[in-house]
Amino acid sequence: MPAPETPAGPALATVRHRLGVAPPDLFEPGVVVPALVADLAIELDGTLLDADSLVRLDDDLSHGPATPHDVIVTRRVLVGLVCWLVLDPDVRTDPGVREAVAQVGGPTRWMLRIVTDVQRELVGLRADKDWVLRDEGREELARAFLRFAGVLPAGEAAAAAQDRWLAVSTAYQRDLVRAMAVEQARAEELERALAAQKAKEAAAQYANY
Amino acid sequence: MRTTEQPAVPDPVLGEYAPMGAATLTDAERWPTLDDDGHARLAALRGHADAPPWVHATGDRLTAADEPVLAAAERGPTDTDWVEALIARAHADVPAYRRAQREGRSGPGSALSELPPVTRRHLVDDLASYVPVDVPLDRVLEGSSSGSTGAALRVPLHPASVAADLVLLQRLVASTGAVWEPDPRRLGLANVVDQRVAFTYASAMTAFRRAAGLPAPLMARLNLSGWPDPAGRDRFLTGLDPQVLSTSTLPLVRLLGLDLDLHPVAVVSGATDLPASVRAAAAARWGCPVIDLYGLRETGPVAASLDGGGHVLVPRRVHVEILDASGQTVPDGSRGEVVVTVDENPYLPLLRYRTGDHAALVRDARGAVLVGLEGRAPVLFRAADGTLRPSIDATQLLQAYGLAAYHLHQGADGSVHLRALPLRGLGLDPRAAADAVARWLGRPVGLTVLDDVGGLGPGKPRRFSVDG
Repeated sequence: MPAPETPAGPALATVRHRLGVAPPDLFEPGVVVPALVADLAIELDGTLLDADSLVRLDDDLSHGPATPHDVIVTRRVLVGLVCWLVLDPDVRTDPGVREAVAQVGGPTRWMLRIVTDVQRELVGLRADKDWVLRDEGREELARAFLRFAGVLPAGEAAAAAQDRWLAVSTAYQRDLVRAMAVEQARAEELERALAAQKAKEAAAQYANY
Repeated sequence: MRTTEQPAVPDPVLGEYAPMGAATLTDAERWPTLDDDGHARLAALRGHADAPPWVHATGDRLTAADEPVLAAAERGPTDTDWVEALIARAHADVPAYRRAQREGRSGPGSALSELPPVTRRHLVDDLASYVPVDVPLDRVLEGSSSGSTGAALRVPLHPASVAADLVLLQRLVASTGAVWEPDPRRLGLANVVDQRVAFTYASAMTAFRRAAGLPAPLMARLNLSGWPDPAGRDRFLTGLDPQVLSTSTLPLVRLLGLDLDLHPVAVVSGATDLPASVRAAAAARWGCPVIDLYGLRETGPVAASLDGGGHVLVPRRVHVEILDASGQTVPDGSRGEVVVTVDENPYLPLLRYRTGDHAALVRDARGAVLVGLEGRAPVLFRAADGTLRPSIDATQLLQAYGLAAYHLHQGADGSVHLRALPLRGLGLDPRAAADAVARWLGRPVGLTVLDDVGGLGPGKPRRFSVDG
């Protein structure tokens, strides 16, 4: 849950709208996403990304022996969309964003954190284009972006932002359904175990309570 | 086994107390590690000429796999960060805390003081939310707690944590300087109650810490009102001369009144307040230590008073806070509600469990000490024939008749009134409960049916009270 003192950032509608007008070429297989990130870092604060940062990006965004092709493509799409949001002047000049940027030590570090966290949180949850074409996809990505950017949607308290994030988070809802199923099955198992004759016979007691 | 003399249960709802009504296992399942000699000695105890009619059969259910738990109980906890570890584990495995984490209310790194206290009502309404999801349930035992605030609570118990109580008793008795070693001529422990109906049984204490080669001592749960012939009861008790009398205040008073030739190495009293006068009388009569053990079925043992001067926290993973009425921690030395965090029973670790009992916490050379512990007062009702009847009899009746919460009051003129909140959805008539109480006391019983627990007043509802 965001800390109560988390600064207010851009309005959710601003971020959602920006996603709605994302350039289609972000979904093209030919787009070189690491280069996009490196260029963005230079534009943000003149940072030349060091080798470690690029290696980490490459690890996440390149084909490895254990990473299926579609996962890589999806990660690249998400990173591209985050770059698109970071480029938005309404986002970059927002006072809350500036505060959050200062807290993490500068624009590039701030941007890299969002790039990393958003793709890890959302990878594989929706078809790539649904992040911009469908209302609920835009809502989930916009909320994830602001959350990992370290700001609250304008006009939302931390607790409300948390509730609304959990309501739209596909991963959370999926985990919730699984967890609730486990807990429900367990409650029924406990009921059966306690009702069994071998439980009813209990055990010898040495003290009184 | 002698069961035939047992009179019919005194009320139709108490059918589980019919002789052997709840006993289903074989003796090999009851004591998986007991040798042939142990079974033979147990058979002799059960068949003793003056044995009571045994109402139940139950053992300790311990297997060799439980030995590490018992050995740990003998040493006491050595880790100092177990509360933090329990908080982290609860958020991974205990549904109530998994939910709290999902909803952002708390997490594995939360401080204990940030977690909301848990009440008996939480466990009555939704026990499964407090039982870890990752512990196999194949050995769960049903413990029940009549408690002091209303509806009966089923407590899932593990054989090893139940048996660890015995190891703790050994430690407490040893700490007084008393010597409790196996003595095949005597009963190792008698758990003594005095009720209209009660589970009575004979068992072997295979968990008893002892030198290799010594036999497991025997124990029995005995009901002073459970013999058809008091002379037989007295012969049984004096003949087997229990080494430890584990009991509570009212049966202890009755036992003292019987004036039998007993030689306990120690008396352990639990469940209810032990008045100084009763402690002194027992110590004077038998010249042995008297240990007042404080705990709840839900938490297990919490603290013990060896000398009447405060209850010292026992060497288990148990942590106590004192909270005020608003739920805030009070400074050491101030009175408030005793709230217990405990990690001993694998089926029911508890974080900040409200006991409903009150005390102040002080720290001295003995460790953390509960001073002025209150809330466990036993209550006696006066029947029409002038006899005094312990409230535990009424607890059995009222819970069996499906009351969620209640308050039974007797006025100075002897009149009795029941205020009752029925469990919803069972279609039970609280009048039947009132009628059962009327039969028990031989007096008419007035009845007020409540719609919610608020009708019993704020704070810890008192279930029983007597004027005059």
